[in-house]
Amino acid sequence: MSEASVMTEGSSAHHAAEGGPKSKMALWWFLASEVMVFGGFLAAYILFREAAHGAWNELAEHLSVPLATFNTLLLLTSSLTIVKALDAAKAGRHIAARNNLAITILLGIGFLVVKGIEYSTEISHGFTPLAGMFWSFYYTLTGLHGLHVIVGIVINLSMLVSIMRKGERFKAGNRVEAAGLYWHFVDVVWVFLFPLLYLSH
Amino acid sequence: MAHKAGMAYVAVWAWLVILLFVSVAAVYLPFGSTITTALIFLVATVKAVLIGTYFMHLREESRLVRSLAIIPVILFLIMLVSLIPDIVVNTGVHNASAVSH
Repeated sequence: MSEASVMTEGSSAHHAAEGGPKSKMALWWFLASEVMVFGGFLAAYILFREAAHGAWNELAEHLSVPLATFNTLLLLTSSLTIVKALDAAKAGRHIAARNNLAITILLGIGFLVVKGIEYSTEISHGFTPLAGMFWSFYYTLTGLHGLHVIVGIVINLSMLVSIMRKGERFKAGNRVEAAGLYWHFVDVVWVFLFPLLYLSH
Repeated sequence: MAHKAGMAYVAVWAWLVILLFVSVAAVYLPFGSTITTALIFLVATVKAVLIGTYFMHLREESRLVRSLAIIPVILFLIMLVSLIPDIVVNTGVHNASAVSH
């Protein structure tokens, strides 16, 4: 393990010469601001739900825990595949990088499809964004997260195209790392949205 | 070496999946709602820390990057706690019906 970390430190020092950490730092600052963007929405939701004294609990029971659990599984797995893509790209194994990136994109699309199924079921039962405060928060929070998933898919697609074009000449620059960090962040947000919306009764 | 790291990633993923099912199972177990709520958010926090530490490589990052990850979360918690009197206490007492659906 210590051997591995020495290697990583070595490679990050190498990146420093190329200005790597600069873009990584920028990405971390961006994620820090994203915490506060989601934080504002989450704080409002948590506090109003508390203020409702349990009145939202029965509304939350209309959400599908099995579908959301499956979706959580998809996002967690996509975090694994994108980190493997980054590893492969760094090691110059562009085929493995391409495959793992493609799986990551498919898992992201799968997440959106399942979310779409959930939305349409809920809306067909009359639970529209205008059906009350809980539903309004539910669509805002999952919608904002869904937009982030879409942005992540677009970023990953642009990288996939670049790997497929360049093949062996593809350099695992800071772009792959930044895209990975963003995708993991979107995963972390869902890790908290899942219990906040689906599991709290 | 890359192979070794790959195995570690799979192990982290396996833990994340186990924790996911722990949190779903907790809802169906006959605990009180306070214990269940505490458990599911503890599990969520552990999952987030695992993703940050291993997948986002915070373990190998500088103190500055780690601070960038942690400080916003602390600021969020301060915001959350300091708004309790404004929203939960006052709305709860005076206007419970407004937020009840």
